[in-house]
Parts: sequence; structure tokens; C-alpha cells
Amino acid sequence: MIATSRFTLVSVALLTVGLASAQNTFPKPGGFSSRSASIASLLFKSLGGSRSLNVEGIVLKRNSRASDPIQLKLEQSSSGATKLTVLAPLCDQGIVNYEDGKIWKTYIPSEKRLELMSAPNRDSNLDFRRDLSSRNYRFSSEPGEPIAGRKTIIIYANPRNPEMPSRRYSLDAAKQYLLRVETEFDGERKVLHDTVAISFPTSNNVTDIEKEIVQNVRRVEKSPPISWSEPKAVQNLVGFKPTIPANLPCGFEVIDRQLAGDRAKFVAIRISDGLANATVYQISAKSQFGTTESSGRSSNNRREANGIRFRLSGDLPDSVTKRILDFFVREAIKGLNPLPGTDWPAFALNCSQISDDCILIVIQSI
Amino acid sequence: MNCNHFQNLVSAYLDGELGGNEMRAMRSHLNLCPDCCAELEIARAVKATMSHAPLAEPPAGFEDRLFAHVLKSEKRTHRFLPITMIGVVAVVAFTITMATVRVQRAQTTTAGVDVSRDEAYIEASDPFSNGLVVNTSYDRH
Repeated sequence: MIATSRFTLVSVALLTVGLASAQNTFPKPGGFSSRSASIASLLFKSLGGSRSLNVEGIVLKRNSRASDPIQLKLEQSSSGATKLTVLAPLCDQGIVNYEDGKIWKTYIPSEKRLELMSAPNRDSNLDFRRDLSSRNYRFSSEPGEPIAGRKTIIIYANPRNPEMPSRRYSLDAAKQYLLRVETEFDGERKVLHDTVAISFPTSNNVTDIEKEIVQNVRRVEKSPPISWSEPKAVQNLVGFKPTIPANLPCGFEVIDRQLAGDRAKFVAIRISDGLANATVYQISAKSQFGTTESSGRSSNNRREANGIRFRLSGDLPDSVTKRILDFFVREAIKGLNPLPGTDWPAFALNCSQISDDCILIVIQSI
Repeated sequence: MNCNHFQNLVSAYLDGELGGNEMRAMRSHLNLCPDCCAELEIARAVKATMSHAPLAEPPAGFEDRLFAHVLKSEKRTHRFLPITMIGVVAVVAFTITMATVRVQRAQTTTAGVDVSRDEAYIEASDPFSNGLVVNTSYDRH
């Protein structure tokens, strides 16, 4: 309780500093600004403190896996338990997610199926990501328009790299709870997260879905992704040596390297620029990723090189996606000889034997 | 949902004409079946190509010549025989080709649902998600 009060006081003080010097325009590019760093700290602290609130509301979320936003009923208790019920789209209506900091449960009523995984850790890498975001973005703040009847503070994150979208975080002025997240790139504004209705009751009892659901439910336990550090350790499991470039473009850095998948094991390299996250999946060329992304998206986020299929998952502009994948592909083909008689930095994309004396080689130049 | 059922509905799926349950069944099947993923990509490419194809104006007198040709052909029905045969051969060849491609693709595995689940899991571990992430990907077995 004392810690929470201290956090609120610090937040309010920082907000006051931010508001006093807020301008209508974003700060000009330049050196490291202490005000910008303070606002970044406030943003990350508010995220860390949001779990200790009682919350009820209706929210809209957009992710990179679906073209339309998903509407959720949110129930959260100050003990850290969160229950989400899908209201729309119709095809997912009624799916419930429960998380209490230890376990992550998803109940699919039409299948009478309950999937269980250990709860994702939202607090890992927070300090690293705050420092990274301070390097890659300039932060500023100003009072915002009310959202769902609540007064707001807007935190702007202006990227130092012009290829990245600018970001806008709307926080509840009293509770420092994130109400809206928007990005803007090339004149196109995208709302990633929005709040339709919200309240902060003094108490909220969020019950575990397993105590509510009907009998005869199939419980399926799934393994969470596992972090690894030595590529050779996973090479035998995935059938190839994972590719990790020494550095990445646009201010991105590798924040974790993991192994995931039940049917076919695959490598997941988590990257971030502090605010924007992405995963570069790597799987053996003998396997496929499937069509899991939103319809209409181009195949710009997929590559294949040296027996590895790459797929970048994340809400990034196409040009950034392409540049990041180029780094992974270059790393994957490092050491391969150029095609005979040419200087092309080309590599075999695919190689298949058509007949006894005929081999089809598809090449790509980067 | 099996592959035949999927292929019957693929056009309606692309046009967004399916109801909620059918749409979800289609997505689930897509995550498990590389063949139908490929079918969907082909159907999507054909649809995109056709929707952007310019409308061609027939040359002058085309309609008259077409009707004259049809009427003439009706009198000599044996001329249809080779065309019919060509059609049958083409269909058989196409079926054999597709079956061969299917057999080859069946040797691959698809990580679709696992990747989707991982995407949801990792999004849920992002502090900026505020924990507001529901895993809507699941497999049926």
C-alpha cells in the first residue's frame, strides 16, 4: 500500500514536470533529453503498476494476427487475476482467458476445451526496454481528450528512425492505467488498443474460470516457450543452426531467444526497439508455418535461405520488416560461396530434384 | 472439417460469406493442413488477378460470328467429340497433377496453431498489452 502511494506520488510529480514543459509539437531531434527519459520512466512504471488495480471494462484490441479488432470484457482484481471474455467477433465469442500471474487458462466453450500454460511474465526486460526506448524514441506528454469518461494524459513517443511509426499512449490521469495505444505512420493512424467503458471499483472478485465452467471439459496442457543461449543446444531439436545477426537495423535488439512448438519445433528470436516488438520465427524448410496471419497481408514477412524458413511476426512497417529479415538472411548465408561465374550475392532459396538429371534451383539476390 | 469440405467453401471464405462457426472451422483447418493453405493461396491469387483484369470489348461482329459458329457446330455434332475428349484428358491430367502435389506436401508438417499460440503468448507477456490478450488459436485432436 505504501509502495503504491509512493509510486502514485512519483508519477504525479513526473506528470507535472512533463505537463509544465509540454509543447504542441514533438521535441526536436537532438541529444538525450532528461525530460524525455523521465516521461519514458513514467510510462514504464505505469505499466508495472497497472496490475494492482481493480478494473472492469470493455476494450478493443487489435493484433498482428487479425485484421479486425477483438472486443473484450475485462475483469481485473488488485490481487493480479485477470479475466477476459471475447464479445466480438462472433466466431470467437464466448472464449474466456484467465490469468493470475501463475497460470494462463483459455476456455473454448464450443469445444469444451481448456488450454493451460504457465502465465506469461510481463515484468521481464522492463528496465532494458525502458533504456532501449529512450535511445530510440523522444518522449513528450500533454493532457489528452477524455476516453470513456476518464481524464487522460497522452505520452508521445517520436521515433528517431523515420522508418518507424510514432506512438501515442493515453493513460488515465488518476490511475495511470493505459486506455488507448495508437500508432501513426505515413499519414495512417492505427488504434491498437482502445477503451469503450471502464471503471475502477474498490473491490473486484475475479473467479477462476475452472470454477465456473461445466463438466466434461478437456484439459490440455501446453508448454511455454523455453529460453536458450547456446545455438548448438537447439540445433538437434530443430534440424538447423539458428540464425542470430550480430546487430539489427532500426534500433532493434534481440531481447530473448526461445524454442517453441509442439508438432514441429521452431526457433523464436524476440526483438524489440523498446516499444515495438517482433518475433523472427525460424523453422526447418521441411516444415511450414501455415497461414496464421491476417488475410490480405502480403508474403513480405517470409523468407527462406539455407534450409531455414523465416517469418517475422509483429506490427512493423513493410520496409522495416524487409530490412530486419535481410539481416537474418545475410547471416544465414554467411560463408556460402557465390554462384559460379557470377559476383551475385545470391543464395539458393529452394532446391528440388525434378528428375534423375534435372535439378530446379530457385535463387534470390538480396 | 476435411479437405473436401474446405474446398467447397473456399470461395465463400474468401468472399467473407461464411457464418461464425464455419469461419472458425475453416481457420482451424487452415492451421493444420498445408494442402488447403496452398489451395487458399491459389484461390486468393486467382481472385486478385481476376478482380484486376481489364474488361475486354469484343470486336465488331463477334456476337454474329459466335452464333453462326454455334449453329453450324450443332449441325455437325461429331466435331464436339475431339473437344470433349481434350477436356476429359485435361481434367484427368489436372487431377493426377494435384494428387501428386498433395502426396509431396503431405510429407511436410505445419506449425500454424503453435505459431499462433506463441504469438498470443508473447503478446500477453508484453507489458504494453496490459494483459489484454486472448489466445483464440487452438487445434482439434
